[in-house]
Amino acid sequence: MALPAAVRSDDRHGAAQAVDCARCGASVQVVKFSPQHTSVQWTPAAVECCAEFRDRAAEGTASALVGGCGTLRASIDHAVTAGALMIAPPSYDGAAGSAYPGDGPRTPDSAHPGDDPRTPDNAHPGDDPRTPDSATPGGDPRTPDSAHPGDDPRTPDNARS
Amino acid sequence: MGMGIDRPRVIEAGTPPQRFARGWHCLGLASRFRDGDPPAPHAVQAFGTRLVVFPDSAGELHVLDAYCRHMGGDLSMGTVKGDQVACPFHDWRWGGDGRCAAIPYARRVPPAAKTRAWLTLERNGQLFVWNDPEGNPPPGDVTIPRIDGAYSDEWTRWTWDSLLVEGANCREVIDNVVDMAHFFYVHFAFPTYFRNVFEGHVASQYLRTRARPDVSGPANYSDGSAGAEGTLRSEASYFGPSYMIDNLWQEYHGMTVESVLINCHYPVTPTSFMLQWGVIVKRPPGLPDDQAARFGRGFAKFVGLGFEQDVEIWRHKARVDNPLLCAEDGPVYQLRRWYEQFYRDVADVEPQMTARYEFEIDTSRPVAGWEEEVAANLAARRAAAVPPADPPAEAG
Repeated sequence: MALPAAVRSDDRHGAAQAVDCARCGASVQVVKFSPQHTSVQWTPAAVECCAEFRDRAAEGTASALVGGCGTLRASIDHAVTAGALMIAPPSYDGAAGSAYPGDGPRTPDSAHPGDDPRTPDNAHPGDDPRTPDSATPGGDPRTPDSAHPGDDPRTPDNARS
Repeated sequence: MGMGIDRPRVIEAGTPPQRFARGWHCLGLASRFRDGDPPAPHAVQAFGTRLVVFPDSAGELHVLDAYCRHMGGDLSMGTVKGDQVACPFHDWRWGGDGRCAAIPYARRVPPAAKTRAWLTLERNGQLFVWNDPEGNPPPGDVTIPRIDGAYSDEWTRWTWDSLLVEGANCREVIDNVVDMAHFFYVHFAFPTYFRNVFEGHVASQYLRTRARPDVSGPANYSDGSAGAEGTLRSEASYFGPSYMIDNLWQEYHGMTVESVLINCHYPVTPTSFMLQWGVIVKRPPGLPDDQAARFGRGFAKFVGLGFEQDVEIWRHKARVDNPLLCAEDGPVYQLRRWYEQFYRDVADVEPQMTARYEFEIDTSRPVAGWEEEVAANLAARRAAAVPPADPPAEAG
């Protein structure tokens, strides 16, 4: 049974890669289609870890109303400069497809920009994008889910911070 | 091989949800529901039913299902009697708590005489009702933030407008949160910066635009005064599924004018909704009160024209559950993932629907393309309107 339509995943797949904040160590999944484009998937644990968000919270501003973390942005820029973070236009490869934590993993080689959009059956592989084993089918070796065990998005207590 | 490239993309339209979003919904300015002397009940068609809004003797507003549980009379056609609304059919008196307080011709009120009372909130001069198909009250952190300007004499009073949108589910207006390019084509603004953040029950849009010098029409989102090289900075957040607070800073006659735009709606049926918007403006030093108010009214009018252009699109477009996006489009799928949390029982909300997500669009290619288009439009306009030998006509 496919998930309801409203939780379909973006079919602009990018290679989600982990970036750790140089200041507080908060670990997020980043996709960059181009130098200016940035997609950042946080987990509740990373939000809780973020030093800038904590500073803002102390001033009375909830993280949801903070546009972003400047230190993390610098860390992402640094990762690009250092060659650790790949920039690539989105792939429309139907084989990939995890909506979470990233925009769906893919390997750089699997980019076929003109390729067919997914069929309904493979749009939601396994129906549970959180299953670590199925989340990166042949995926990017630089985004092993197990590398950041503390970032499990399923942590229910933090879910509505 | 190659089949996929040649096969036409198929629109998956899906079906609009039959339930209505969990959350606070603004019904309009509170003062509207207290007008009349003596105060009269008001009808609101919402959430697939009819509601009655009425003030008690202390002026506090209450919201009940409009249809009397006795014989189905419409309470909104009745009268306010003391702290109750009286049905026009048999004068049954209903209190703000939903209980029938009295039946003037009966010895006693039947024990089951209780109707649905909606949880209400009055804030920022507006009336809200809480909708939850599960019947639970809102969690403590889910509320409507206070807008300081709405309580300050330094700000103008709210303008308020509404538009009934039929033939579209309210997801269409939500999609605007991430839709950068439509600001250029539908609202004639020129976006230069665009970023989204979703977290918890909040979805935000950080936007900067400049005016389009090639569009002198009225619906110029960037500049209510029309025509000028105005720039606009906007920080807008939906608090829950239907109430957006948009903080705006606009260039106007050489000064920065700060305003707040409310963009909100409530569902009427699964395929219609009431769109509402209101504006308050902070009076800048040096700008007379009436001019600030005029600026507010002008801006509200232009926002309204923009919404009318949105509605014209919505009326004719297909519902699309699988939009085909280019790299320069916003995070439509992630926005809808966030929005889905309001259409599920709380126990079924998945962590990824509320986890923080950020998306910043690369505006370099859109800006370059749009600059070319604007320049071409200006050149064409000059060629059409102005004889080459008559440069002074430029000023017109």
